[in-house]
Amino acid sequence: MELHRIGDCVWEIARQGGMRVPGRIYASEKLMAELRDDPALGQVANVAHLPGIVGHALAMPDIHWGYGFPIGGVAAVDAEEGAISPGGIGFDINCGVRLLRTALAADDVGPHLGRLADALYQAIPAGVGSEGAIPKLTRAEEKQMLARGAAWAVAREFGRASDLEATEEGGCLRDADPDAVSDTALERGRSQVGTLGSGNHFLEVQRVDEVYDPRAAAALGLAAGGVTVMIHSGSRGLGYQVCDDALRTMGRAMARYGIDMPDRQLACVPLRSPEGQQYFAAMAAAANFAWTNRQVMSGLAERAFAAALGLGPAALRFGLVYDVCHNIAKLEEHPVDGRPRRVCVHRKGATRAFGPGHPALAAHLRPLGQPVIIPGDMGRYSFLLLGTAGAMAETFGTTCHGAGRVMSRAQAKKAGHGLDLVAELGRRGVLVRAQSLRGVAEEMPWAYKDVADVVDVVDRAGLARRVARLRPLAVVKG
Amino acid sequence: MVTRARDLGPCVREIEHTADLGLEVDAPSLPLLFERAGLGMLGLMIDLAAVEPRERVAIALAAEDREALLHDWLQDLLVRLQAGTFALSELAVEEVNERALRAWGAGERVDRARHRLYTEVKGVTYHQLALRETASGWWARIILDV
Repeated sequence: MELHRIGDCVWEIARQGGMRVPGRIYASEKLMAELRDDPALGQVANVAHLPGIVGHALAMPDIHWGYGFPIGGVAAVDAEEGAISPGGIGFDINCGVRLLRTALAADDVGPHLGRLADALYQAIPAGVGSEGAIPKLTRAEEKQMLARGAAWAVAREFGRASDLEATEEGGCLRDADPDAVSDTALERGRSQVGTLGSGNHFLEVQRVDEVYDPRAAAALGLAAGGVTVMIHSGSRGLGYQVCDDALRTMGRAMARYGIDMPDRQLACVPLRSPEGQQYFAAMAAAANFAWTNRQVMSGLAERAFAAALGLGPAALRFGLVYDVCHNIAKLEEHPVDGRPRRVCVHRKGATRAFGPGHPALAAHLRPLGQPVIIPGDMGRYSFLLLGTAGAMAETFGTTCHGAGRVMSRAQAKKAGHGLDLVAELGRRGVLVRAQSLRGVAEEMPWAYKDVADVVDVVDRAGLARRVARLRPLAVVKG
Repeated sequence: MVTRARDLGPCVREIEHTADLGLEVDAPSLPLLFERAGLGMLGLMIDLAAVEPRERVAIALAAEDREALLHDWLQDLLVRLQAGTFALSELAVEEVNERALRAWGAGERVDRARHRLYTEVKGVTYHQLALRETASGWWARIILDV
């Protein structure tokens, strides 16, 4: 594979063999050195085989090995002629992150943090096998929820209507068709509404630790020393099953469309085919499930704050800064070869980062650009950024999504062996409430890249700009 | 032939994978490989030692090739546990060939008071999925999304 550095933080994989376009990776020299022998680079080249792909097969600086697409992979295909690949969205459809602001100061909350962490842990089911705070839905209720997305949760008094303006797509993809979702997927999702999940999903209480752009932070309702809440979660068992169903269907259907891909996990079909349309509609329904889920958990978190701190809504002033997806496919318009083109953008472990003025943004956000939330590991920090014109020009309005792992789960468990991990995090000033200590071991800071390195690259490359850094105070995990 | 959770030992091994979990399985026969792979995966998700073989279920699957069959078999067991909250601690593959499988499993409904839950496996991937005949029988590698 030929890899050339073409900019400060930009590398190109030259077109060769069956690649329809070149590959382009955003990374620092340090991050690229770690990637040299990583199969993830080969995966970028494989993605370039996707029928109808335009521009480049892209990878963000948090790139690592995934299924078919690398995590951090982005590919835009022509909306009429191109192919859709579930591997370009991932198992956890609409895994995403939201950031909530409050009127609270971290110094005031500090003495009550233990009680607050306990209340959050009680209120929001987390971990393997956890069932929801919402009673098991009937099939009909579940389908209504899949059709309406986050608005379904708002109607049940989780959060408020204004949250929808601060959510991608208003928390609902209209192309969703609940009937396109299999019975198995519906069964997996029925009792999981309002649950956090496990693995790297979390709910964090944070302190706004550093502000890089005071004007933008103020416009988003944030100030240094303020308390925020971050929720990272996705579409749970329902989304995972939609992906698996589609991989099976497309694996069989691909040959009929004359498509041959170098990796089985890059199974794909034309977006306009019956299989492509069915997957897109099911994916959209799963995305709506995830938005509903994060909206419900926001409401549960607000109630936990109220109960633990004895404060009402007027004192708490919970509000949604923004909610982003980082595993999704969207139909968008972007310039290709100087002309506007309708494309289907796959973002797998990558975040939309629309620049200032974009019509998809609500009026209060349009002058700023789209907020982008980048979670780090639970011992260090996360970041809030804004999308830029640079992202619109170079990466189909996309930036990174998080830190990326450097250790396998087995290695991380070994590294934590014999250590009191909860005490270790306590030394870093972080309270943990977790269902599984094994889960904590797998998610310790040393298992991850430093997200600041990743954010530095996207800032230097002009794909997003820093607004604030957020430090964890308390973490709830599965 | 039936395989029980306690029979597994070193013939099922966890392997290194940065983001997720991998398993390698050895067995002298194909049915036994499928049984061991199934229990090996389930054992990552729940403490099988506490799962009593109270109820039997029949499992019949068809797929386009052996790798797809292994994938679908594991996915079937995973979905039974997650969606149906039914855990299997004994598996017996009565017949398996290139494209079809017939088996039964024995287990019980998950009881949070008695059964410890471990890792939540989201799905069985095709990534590096391998199933091969060897000098001593069969070998498989499966990567699980967690």
